[in-house]
Amino acid sequence: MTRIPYFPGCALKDQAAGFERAARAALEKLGWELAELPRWNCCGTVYSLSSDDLMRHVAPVRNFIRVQELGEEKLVALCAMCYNTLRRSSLFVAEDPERLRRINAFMDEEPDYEGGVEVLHLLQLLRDEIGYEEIEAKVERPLYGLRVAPYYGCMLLRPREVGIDDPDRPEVMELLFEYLGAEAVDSPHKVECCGAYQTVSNPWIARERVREIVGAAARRGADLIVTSCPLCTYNLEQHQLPNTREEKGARNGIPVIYFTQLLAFALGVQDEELGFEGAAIDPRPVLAQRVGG
Amino acid sequence: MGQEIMERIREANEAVITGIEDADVKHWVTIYIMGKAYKVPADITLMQAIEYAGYRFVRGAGCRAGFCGACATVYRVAGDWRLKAALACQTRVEDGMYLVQIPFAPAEKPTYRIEEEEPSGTTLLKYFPELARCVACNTCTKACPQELEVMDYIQAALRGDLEAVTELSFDCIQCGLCSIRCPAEIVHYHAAQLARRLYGKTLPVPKHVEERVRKISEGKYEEEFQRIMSLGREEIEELYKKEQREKGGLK
Amino acid sequence: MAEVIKGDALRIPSREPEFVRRVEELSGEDVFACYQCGKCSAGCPFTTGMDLLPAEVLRLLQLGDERVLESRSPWVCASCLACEVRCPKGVDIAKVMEALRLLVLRKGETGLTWREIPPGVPQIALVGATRKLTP
Repeated sequence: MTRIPYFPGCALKDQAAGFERAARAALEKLGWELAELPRWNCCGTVYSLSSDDLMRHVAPVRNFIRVQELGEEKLVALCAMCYNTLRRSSLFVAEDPERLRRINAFMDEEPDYEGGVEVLHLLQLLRDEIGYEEIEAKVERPLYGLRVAPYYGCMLLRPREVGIDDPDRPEVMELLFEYLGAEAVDSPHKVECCGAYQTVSNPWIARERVREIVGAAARRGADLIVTSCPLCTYNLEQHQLPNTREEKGARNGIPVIYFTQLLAFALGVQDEELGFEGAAIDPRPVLAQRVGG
Repeated sequence: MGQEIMERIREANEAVITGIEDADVKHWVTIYIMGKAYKVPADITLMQAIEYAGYRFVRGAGCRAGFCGACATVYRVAGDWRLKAALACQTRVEDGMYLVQIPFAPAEKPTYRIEEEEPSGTTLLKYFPELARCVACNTCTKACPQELEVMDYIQAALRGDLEAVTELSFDCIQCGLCSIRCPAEIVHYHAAQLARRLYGKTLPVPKHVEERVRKISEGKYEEEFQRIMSLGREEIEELYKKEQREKGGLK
Repeated sequence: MAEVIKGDALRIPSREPEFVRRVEELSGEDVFACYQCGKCSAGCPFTTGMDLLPAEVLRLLQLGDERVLESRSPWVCASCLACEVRCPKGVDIAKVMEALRLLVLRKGETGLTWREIPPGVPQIALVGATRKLTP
């Protein structure tokens, strides 16, 4: 087993527990173990875009200190928002030693962060460290006949300096699905925002976004939508049902699952480890129908 | 007339509870209470010093033993930039201390029917959405006179880990210093109390509690309650003293 | 990323209001670099909720027009960065939007009222909303 420090984030300990559970089970099949960071704290979810707000970087840096205390240099995240915020903050403090000096001085109860922690997303680990061919060799339940629409959203791709793939034409998920035997369904809205936290302040905006995103996937015949973010999943699930009844082919809604769940399913992980019971629209019927049990 | 007023002011400024003879004091320190300098004996607590200086506690003092959380105090010591926090009854005076008491933290305390609430992080966030504003600055932890890992329990609350909140916040005395210092305006101690109550719902009810509740609802103690309720003040006091003597608590 | 071509030629420093200088300082962006191609507005998934298109926000800033301070567009922006990756002049418009929000938030005003919270919304939505929309 290869162990790698792992940052779960709040939602993966609550509503999105299936995202983590399936990841652990899938990685075990691949010989990897996610070692949860001790005493981790919320990353802050959204990266501060102001030039002078060092306080918003305290939360990410505190997590990097936890990695440093383990004597490790890498940190893998599953949630796209956590990945983006942690990764951008790691670059923000690396760019200017004065910023880091001031953050370290503020956190005088902690050892100084010396820089150098590299934040990765699990998709990068799967693609670059484990390798899709290695994964393909371990597939026990090939997803032949399953039409899967990847939904990237924003945080895996933008800005470019932290994007894990081309911001306009990503293929990291498409390739993964194809190695698992599935057919990737393309959609022009796969890299467009789901409405994000506006679901709290302006829920109608999220509804409108989701109608476009899910509608496009439905028209292209997707059986499933796959995400890497608990907020995307929440929006795509909660806002699609009242809206897409009029959309052809989406009468019962399209299930939204995490990429780790699809991976774990294909690798033959047992049903109870897949975490599908947390989904608002049950993906099990369509999986059973297309792929079989 | 003028002299009479001065006399009343002098009286009001006399130490309320001193128990200290100035002649016995070997070492003195100067502290500043709400900006005014007072010379006080070096070995006493902040609470004793405040009284020695002539203040009478109407609020801001309770058990005087570090349990009730009523005497939250913030202070700085001359030459140190830190703003510190302490319980007045548990902290010794230091020379050059500037202090003020915060006997109450204004905080929204939502009402809920605990039996109707689902034990989950969602419930916590429903009543305390400001938990989401935590920036992990750790100021709450530094302010806690009980030396709790306050930020850690707020982080646990945010992710819905009720068990961890319960463990980490168990010794909270609700003094409110965390909430006064929090830049995110979180009400830590009320949130933690809800978390403990929710977590408690997930635990089995102890047999002895079940038994006692059954006896109460069956009216086993009703007669005794009625008897005590009908007593006058002096009889109640006498009863209290008698019971304390029997327990060995009152001489 | 596109190389930032400075917008100094468009500046008239003596006629630049304080709030424009402050927006540039908070965002770290050069609003005068924008040449109004409109790619940001074309790609923005939130324009139906906006009173000013992203490019119009930049234009009003260039003109020093205070109406931009009253705009609801920064409050509808979700920092999705669709504009940021498209801008041929390398202007990070999401940062400009953040600066416009901060001018309000740093006075202690809020862009979010609490009791609107949908039940069961994941923490990351609340953390995101509070960080972007509350003082």
